[in-house]
Amino acid sequence: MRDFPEKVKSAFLKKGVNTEEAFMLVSTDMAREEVYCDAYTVFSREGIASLFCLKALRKQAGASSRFSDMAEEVLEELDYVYFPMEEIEKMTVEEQVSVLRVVIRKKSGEEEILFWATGACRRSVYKLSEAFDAFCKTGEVPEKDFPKMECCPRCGLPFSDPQRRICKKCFGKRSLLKKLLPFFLRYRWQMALVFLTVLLSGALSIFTPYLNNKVLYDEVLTEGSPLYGHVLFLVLSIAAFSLLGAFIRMINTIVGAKVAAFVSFDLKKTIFSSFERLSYSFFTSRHTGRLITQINSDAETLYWFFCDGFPYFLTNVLQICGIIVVMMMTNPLLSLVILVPLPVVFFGYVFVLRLFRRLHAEHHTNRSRFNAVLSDVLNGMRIVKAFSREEAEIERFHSRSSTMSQTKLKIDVHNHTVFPALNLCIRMTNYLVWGFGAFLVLKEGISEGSGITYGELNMFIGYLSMLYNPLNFFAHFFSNFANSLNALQRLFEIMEAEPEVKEKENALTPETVRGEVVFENVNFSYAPGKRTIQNVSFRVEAGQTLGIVGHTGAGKSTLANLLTRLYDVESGRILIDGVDIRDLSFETLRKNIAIVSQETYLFRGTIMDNIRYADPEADRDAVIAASKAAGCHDFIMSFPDGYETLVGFDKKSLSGGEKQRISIARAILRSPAILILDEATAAMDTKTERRIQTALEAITKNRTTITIAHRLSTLKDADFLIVVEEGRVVENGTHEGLLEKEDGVYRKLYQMQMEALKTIGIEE
Amino acid sequence: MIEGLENITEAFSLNADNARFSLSRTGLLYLSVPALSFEGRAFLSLAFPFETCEEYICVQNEEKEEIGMIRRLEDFDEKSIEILRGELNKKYFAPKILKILKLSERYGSTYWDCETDKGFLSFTVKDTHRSLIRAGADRIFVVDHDGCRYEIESVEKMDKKSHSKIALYL
Repeated sequence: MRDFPEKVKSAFLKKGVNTEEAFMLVSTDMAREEVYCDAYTVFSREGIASLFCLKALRKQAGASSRFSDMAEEVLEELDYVYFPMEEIEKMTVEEQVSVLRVVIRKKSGEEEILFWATGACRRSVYKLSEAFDAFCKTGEVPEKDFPKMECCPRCGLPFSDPQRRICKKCFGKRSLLKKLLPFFLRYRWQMALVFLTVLLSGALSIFTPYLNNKVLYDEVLTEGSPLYGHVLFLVLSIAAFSLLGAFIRMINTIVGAKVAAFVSFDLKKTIFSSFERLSYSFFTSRHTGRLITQINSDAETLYWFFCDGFPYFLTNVLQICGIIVVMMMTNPLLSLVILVPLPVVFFGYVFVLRLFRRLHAEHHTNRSRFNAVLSDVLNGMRIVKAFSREEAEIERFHSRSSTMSQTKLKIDVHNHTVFPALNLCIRMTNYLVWGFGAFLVLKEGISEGSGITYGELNMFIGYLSMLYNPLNFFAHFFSNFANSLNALQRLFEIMEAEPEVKEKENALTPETVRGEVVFENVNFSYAPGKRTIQNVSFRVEAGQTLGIVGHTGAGKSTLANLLTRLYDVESGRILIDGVDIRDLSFETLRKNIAIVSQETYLFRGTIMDNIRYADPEADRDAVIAASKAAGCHDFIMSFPDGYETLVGFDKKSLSGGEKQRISIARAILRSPAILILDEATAAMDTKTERRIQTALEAITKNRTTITIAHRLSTLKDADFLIVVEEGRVVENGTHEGLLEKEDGVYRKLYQMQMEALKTIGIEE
Repeated sequence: MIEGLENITEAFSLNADNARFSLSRTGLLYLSVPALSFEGRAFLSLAFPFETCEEYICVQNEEKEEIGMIRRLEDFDEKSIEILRGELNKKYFAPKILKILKLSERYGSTYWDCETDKGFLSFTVKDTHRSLIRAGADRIFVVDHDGCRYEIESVEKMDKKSHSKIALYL
């Protein structure tokens, strides 16, 4: 229950409605017309009142919902409506495409809109409607878990998506890098060694031009200087420095390569573990292509950041600083000539960073789309060929492929235009130094001490060329850094996503599960605006068999998905042995519920591995027994490699019925307290189905079984049946009882199926 | 019509001669079809909502069963057309985005601050590429994470800044 601002409460009080005594207070975001405003509804024993105020568009920046329930400075009333309880017959929520409206049907027969609301208020509106229904039935409103608004702990703004606790105001590049820090720390010693070797190699390279130029020309080749004539000493020194440099670089390469392998492996593992943690809905709402790209290429990109990017970035910064210090110490005037174009170069890099970040994001998107088309076509190749759509698919492939090539081309073109332009700026500086330096050398020749020596000029030019390497590195660093930031963002998108279905802390793990299943007023929807399950209630005693009947899309499989907690109910509850399944551990649920569904999936591996997927510890005898029970032993034995036949992608192809029987064997092996057969025999011919039916009957004996089937004949022996239509239970009873119902849905369905079977010569 | 399916697919065609639409005092849509002995509330749905808003309008009763189909809105008189258009506008309510003031991406969700024909609106879109529905050459619907829709009538006609913000997701 959400509290209202004080001014709203007092406005209600003035109208004779005491919010303190209300069952429920609901804030929504539209008026009785489709106009955005702040709307407040009070549901009490006396009636329902709604107050509409002009406030909605003064939203706080960052708030996701359209009502600003925290603000209360001004209260400009737009409208007010009140329905006394004795006048109301029914309250209904009518879904539109984007919005929904709550309609009150009066006992006089007249219907009136209570308010409109956007999808942001859907949960609150349905809670109100459910509370109202409960009150009409029982005269009381049960205590409800009213959704709490999740807010950012730093700024207090509500998270726009409760599944991802990300505040759009507080989250930035800095936060991203901060989150990356633990990854760095995991490899801190290796990273430190890489960093140290890079640093040493940088320091040596700063010293080399000093030896090659200043010492050579001004000391070794200049008469009167202390090192005059010591050519061998100089050559040996230069060689020693080069050797030392090569040795340090070798250590750097070896350590770097080792770290690279670890980091890449670790990142892929982290991303994949995050996938495993997330709920089923996360995967149904995303491109498979995009997820594959994420695991493969993002890990590589991030590896670059760890091993090549960050250490070299720091070293190059230090190298640039070192070079500038040495140059300033040698000749400040000539150094300033070099520093003049630096702001141009700096802003050039800022521009490059932004440009490449956008280009890489664009390329990533297009590559994911390309992968998605590829996986779509390859998976659906049978259908493509059956409908002779090869040409159209080639066209689709070309279109995505060419878009991807174009973005790649754009990146390459920019790489080859933007960077040469920046390099040109740097070269112009070089020419300036040559010109101005030559002038200073001539000046030095005329009057000693007024210019620079030839050796100093050469050293300057040497350092200037050394500046190219770090600057060139930065050019690519910014481009790759932009790419890494995008990859990082995607990585944390997965790592920080909150699974919709979470295991409760201290969840219960009972030793034994009897298998009693109770659905109590269960409501659920996959997508906003379309209720898939509406107020479903039923009970299955332990060991009983429940049959669920209904048309395609009626919501039968959804009931199975809810029982296995692939999704959580929106309201109501599901109990196993009297315990809410949300209080049970995932282990208990997975161990005690097995599902054989219409969609069978065999993993790459042997048939043995696939059957043992349910219980990796099962021995050979158990696997063979389960296979015999599921009716798959005979065909497995007809394969040359028996149970060790390789199946899955690009291996032995099995028919739909064969795959189905293997998945039944998998479920049998688990020996669950609750077995769900979701159209388990749908892919089989009648003969095979009958054969398996006998096996299934043996397995389901004394085991709670929920059987979902189109073919009603398979449900005849169920202890009782429920008929589901548009997510509601419209009939329930035994097979015989339901057949006795004149105009009953089950009876009609049964008669239709019997006639259809007769036409193909099958008598039940 | 596919040969042999005429009897199965034929829908009752609603027009000015056989159907009368009206609005109740409280603004709800009612329909009367004497030929079907139907009198009660009616609910409209467009069969091709992105292609045409004036043709193939399915009319259902409270049980979501089809009463009939309006082939063309122009089959009705001016007053009825006004009522039907009003009801369709309510059903397919989608503020029109005039300008995208800010569009930022964090963790795969995009955050939009927009100027719309209904005023300033701020919303979040999950998996942006999948949440942009193309409804023609350059008409786009943006679906936010609550399922609310926002329309961009013409991406090409948007101001340069707004266009560059959305270009990445097109």
